[in-house]
Amino acid sequence: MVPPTHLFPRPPLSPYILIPIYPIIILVYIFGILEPKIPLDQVSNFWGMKSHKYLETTGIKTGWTWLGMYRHSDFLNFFPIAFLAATTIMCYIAIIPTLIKKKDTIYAILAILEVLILVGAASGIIAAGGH
Amino acid sequence: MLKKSFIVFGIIIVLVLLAVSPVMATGQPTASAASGTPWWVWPLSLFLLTFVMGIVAIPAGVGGGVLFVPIVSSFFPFNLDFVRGAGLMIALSGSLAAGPGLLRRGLADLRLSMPVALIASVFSILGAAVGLALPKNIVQFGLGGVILAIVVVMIIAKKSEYPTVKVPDSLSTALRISGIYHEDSTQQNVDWKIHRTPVGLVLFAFIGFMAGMFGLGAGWANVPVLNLVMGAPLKLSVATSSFLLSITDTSAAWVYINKGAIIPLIVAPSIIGMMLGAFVGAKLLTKAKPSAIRYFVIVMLFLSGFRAILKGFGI
Repeated sequence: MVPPTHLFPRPPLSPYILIPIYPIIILVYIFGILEPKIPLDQVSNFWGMKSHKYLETTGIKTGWTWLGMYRHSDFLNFFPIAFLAATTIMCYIAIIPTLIKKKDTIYAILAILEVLILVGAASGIIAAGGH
Repeated sequence: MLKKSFIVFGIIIVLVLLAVSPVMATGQPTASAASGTPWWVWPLSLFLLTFVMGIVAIPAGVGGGVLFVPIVSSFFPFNLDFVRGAGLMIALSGSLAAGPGLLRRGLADLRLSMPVALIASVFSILGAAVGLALPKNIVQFGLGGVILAIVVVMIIAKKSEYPTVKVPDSLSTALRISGIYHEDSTQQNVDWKIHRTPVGLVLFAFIGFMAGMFGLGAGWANVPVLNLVMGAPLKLSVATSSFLLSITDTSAAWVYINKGAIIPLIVAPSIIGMMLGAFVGAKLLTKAKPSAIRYFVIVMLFLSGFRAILKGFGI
């Protein structure tokens, strides 16, 4: 029997694939290859604000709106950030079929619950209140 | 060699902090435009500082997030919301880089991680939501208190290589949380089991809340609870903690992303600086004396924690 510790996917789910990609996106941002939503020299006007005030002032919407703003180099940076935050969810989804196949019911339920919680957090459904 | 590297670390830290001295001089974070500092000084200083943090984090045995949040929020003009968001992304990138490898080598244990992670991730979401909703001074004050508590834990917490677990508790037995891992240093297979699982789960709820609220990562608390409270072997605890962080921090990180508490100009230099620094730190691990670096980090954390409390009082 394969111990559950050996079930986690190998790369390409690994964040290591970000190592060549993320610096390129940063360079695109810094050298202005794509126009940012907030010009680099203006960001310092906002980074001292509370996050809700920053959103109000810049007119940036919460949630997944960054997805549609990929033409702006600052929002292009959200893609590797979101990839990092999505990696664990992908890994958990990957082990569920194996746990079910092994009839490890309790751990299959734990994994499904964890995926639901993480997807809930990612979708903004959980913790949607407050500022 | 030790003295030399220690001095170099100290000089770099001082230089970086001097570079951000307008903030230190006024005592209050100010926007670059108001302080007259060119905007690019801050991301550049952040890159240099996180590079140094990355170097000292591994030998000091702490996660990047624990160093990043208190030090950057104390000496940079960024709002704590964005610092915590970046801190979580740093902790997440570090743990994701290490986690799968630790699992495959059998050092981190999935059966031990999953129940604990479920509790911790729920509470880290709550912590993140509460942290973003609370007024800044209260969060600053709380952050200062937690950092000083971490300093105390780092000084007094003992470690047990192979804790004695006479009888596993009924919950860990039902969940079949036990196993064997191969200890390379002694070439032996180590049988392990745990006890006090319900107490451990309650403590992980608290740890998750703190991690989400302050964006700190939580390795500083995970390891003592897994090792000293639940009785997992030290090496297994350290590796499992690293894997746990990837789950706890993921849930909180999404709250920060969805609520707009991420500024790429803060996150990007921080992650790159920390990863490059960690690469150098891992190389230096064989040459530098970890205990000296650890004391240096404890002093830095103490100063940052103390400063965060002062800022919480508006001083």
